[in-house]
Amino acid sequence: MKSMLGFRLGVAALACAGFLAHGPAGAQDKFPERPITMIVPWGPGGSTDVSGRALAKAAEALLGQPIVVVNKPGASTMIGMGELANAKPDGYTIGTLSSTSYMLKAQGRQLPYDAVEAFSYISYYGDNLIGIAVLADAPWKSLAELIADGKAHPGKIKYGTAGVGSTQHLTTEALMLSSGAKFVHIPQKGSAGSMPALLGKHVDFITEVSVWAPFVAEGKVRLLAVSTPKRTQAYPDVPSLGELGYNSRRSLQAIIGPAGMPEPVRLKLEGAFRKALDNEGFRNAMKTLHMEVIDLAGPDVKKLVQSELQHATELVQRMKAAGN
Amino acid sequence: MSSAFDMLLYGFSLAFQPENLIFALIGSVLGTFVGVLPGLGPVATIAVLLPLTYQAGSPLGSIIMLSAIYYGAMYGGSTTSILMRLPGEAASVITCLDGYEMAKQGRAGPALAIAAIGSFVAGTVAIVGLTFVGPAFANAAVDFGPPEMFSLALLGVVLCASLSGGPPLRGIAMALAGILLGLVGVDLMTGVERLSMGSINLTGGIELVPMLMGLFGLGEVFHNLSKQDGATLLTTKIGKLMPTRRDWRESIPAIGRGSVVGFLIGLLPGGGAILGSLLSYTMEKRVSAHPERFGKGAIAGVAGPESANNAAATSSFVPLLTLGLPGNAVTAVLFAGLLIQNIQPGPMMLVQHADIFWGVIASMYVGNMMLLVLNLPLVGLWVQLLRVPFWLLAPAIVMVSVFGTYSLRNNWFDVGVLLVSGGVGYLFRAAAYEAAPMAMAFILADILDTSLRQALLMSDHSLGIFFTRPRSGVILAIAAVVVVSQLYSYHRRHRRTS
Repeated sequence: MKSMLGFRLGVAALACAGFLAHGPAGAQDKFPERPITMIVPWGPGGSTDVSGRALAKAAEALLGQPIVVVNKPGASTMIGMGELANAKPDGYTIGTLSSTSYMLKAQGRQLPYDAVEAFSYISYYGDNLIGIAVLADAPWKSLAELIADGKAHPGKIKYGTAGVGSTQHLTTEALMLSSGAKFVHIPQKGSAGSMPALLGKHVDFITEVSVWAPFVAEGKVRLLAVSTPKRTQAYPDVPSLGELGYNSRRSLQAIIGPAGMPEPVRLKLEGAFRKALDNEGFRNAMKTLHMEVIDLAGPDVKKLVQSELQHATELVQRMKAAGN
Repeated sequence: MSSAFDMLLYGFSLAFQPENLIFALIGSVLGTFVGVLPGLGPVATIAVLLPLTYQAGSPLGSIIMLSAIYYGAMYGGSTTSILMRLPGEAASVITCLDGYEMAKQGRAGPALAIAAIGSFVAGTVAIVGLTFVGPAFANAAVDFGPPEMFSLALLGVVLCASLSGGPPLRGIAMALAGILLGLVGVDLMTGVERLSMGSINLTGGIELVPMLMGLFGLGEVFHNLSKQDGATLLTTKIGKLMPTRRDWRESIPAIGRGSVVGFLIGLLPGGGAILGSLLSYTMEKRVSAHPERFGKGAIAGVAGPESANNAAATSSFVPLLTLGLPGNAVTAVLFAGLLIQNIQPGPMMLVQHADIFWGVIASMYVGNMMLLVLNLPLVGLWVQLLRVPFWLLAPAIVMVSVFGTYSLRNNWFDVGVLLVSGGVGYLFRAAAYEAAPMAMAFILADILDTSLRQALLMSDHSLGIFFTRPRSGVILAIAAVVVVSQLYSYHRRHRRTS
């Protein structure tokens, strides 16, 4: 339903772009006339890189110009994001946005650009699925049991995530603050480190993106909850944190550009990138990565980022007050 | 056991299909090529080729090709290490020590030949291990948690201080400097920036590959330029291309030990080819009857580490394929490659995609064979490179290093790291400080830092966890023995000379 609506909006946006293009801005109505560069602020092979490339492939067919994906990893996306913020806002340089980028801001890190205002928001494409997972032979059968144990024995249960300040970490801290349970965070080196830590029983549970998926399928790992606002189609029996009454932070993926992009150009890109969400190759890539395809208009992406940043900042302040 | 054998035969029936043979060949050639080119490593190559495999070829064919690039790069990586003291990729840095010395003595031929043969033997040993005991070992490897990794890294640091032939104090000082440099960047546990001096580019730490290429390769180029005498790198005539009988006698046991060490290290999460080659080198130096010849052209110092890095590259496929746990950057990219083909690596892989699993393993046997046939005849050709006048070679090395470095992350800052490291490497060379302990400690600092703090969080800040966990305790005991024996032998030598 949602994607159908997105498709229609996309077509409307395209029509709009076409209409506006009849204005005096001559160079803009022929956009794009040359290849577009898309900056991915992560190394090759990660979920953002793989999904972003699949989406770019679908969008370039609609735009009629190749989209060249360039990896600019390093410094938790700051290097790539900094370069994107400083690029010419002509639509020929765009990039991907992940929650990590503004989460840095929530933790009081100094960024060389404004985390929200330095960018134009083109479109949204999906959420990473984050789950709370334990080994199948662990004593906790539900999130409620895990929380009860965490309250009865504060500091005994240890959990792993991709790192300090990650969406996974903040989601678990929010859970602790609102439930009163006390778990000990053992940060791992990225999401890839969390699964071995759980299997080797070096941590008791992990809050992670879909690294647990093959083990859940095998029955070796039990999923206690997922972080998406509602239950996900892939795991209809697993409750969402939202329905259990807990807040969670979203791990979002969007397409952005530098601030100050001419509106007709932004609309043309938005139209193409939202229409590309229906592409089968892209949908398959998202499915194998266990990511949810979600469609949002550019201005709504900005509102979402602002609200997520505000919630995360408040959460970090409450964590500091609670001595975590 | 017999079922593993039957499955392997089934794998061979797939690997020998003409299409898959061609993919293995393309991967092997490409891998050798990027291994030889400094900077350009298997990670970047596989990542660039990923989208291509998405469209062309069967899932099995593309995975065969991508994995052949990985182990092919391990063959090629030694070439420039030996000929120019320029590590073709990170796991070959230790080969610079004795390989380059051998080349200067006119023995580049035997060094290259032993590296290729050692790689072949180790690759084959590791594939046999992968076939029969791999899955069982992979399950045990996850028991290796933060305390064990810390103890292993500590053992590595203790060993690397003794890498240099010079006074122990120099080795220790260089190792400590390496650890300090390795700690630059955002603290994983608190998110606080350390030693980054306000530079965004330093928040992620100093990049390993440009640093290694600068310290070793460019440092050597600058050093040679400053001498202004040698018309070529070679100090004597090029000798025989093939190893002598004595070379064989020294190399065969080293290859055997290197294969086993590499295989075991490759299984560990976070282990990998670099750690494997370091441990193998220090082990060879310890068991050798002539430890004083290490660093001056000992062939065992080439044979051991080159075998170990190949064995580790192969065995790191075990956790990737059977557990879905990529242990290093290359296997992480391969993981993505499998996902793109709609194959989820993990415990279900043997059930759901037995054809892929056994097809890839069988193709590794085939690929290793191809690589040996490919690399041995090339030895003669590579050695001719040493005849190229240095005024021509020097700018070429600098240029290839700069391009290779930039291509890693498309970042000019890394090129700066390369050039600065080159200057530092030159100073070390001029002052007779060995750069290897620093480079190795730099690599280990990351494991040391992360696993120490994780382990302390696990134990509620009690140091006991390192001694009460049996594996960790045993490794620490070995490290203690190494320290005591080093002090003792130094003390004795010191007394004798004074």
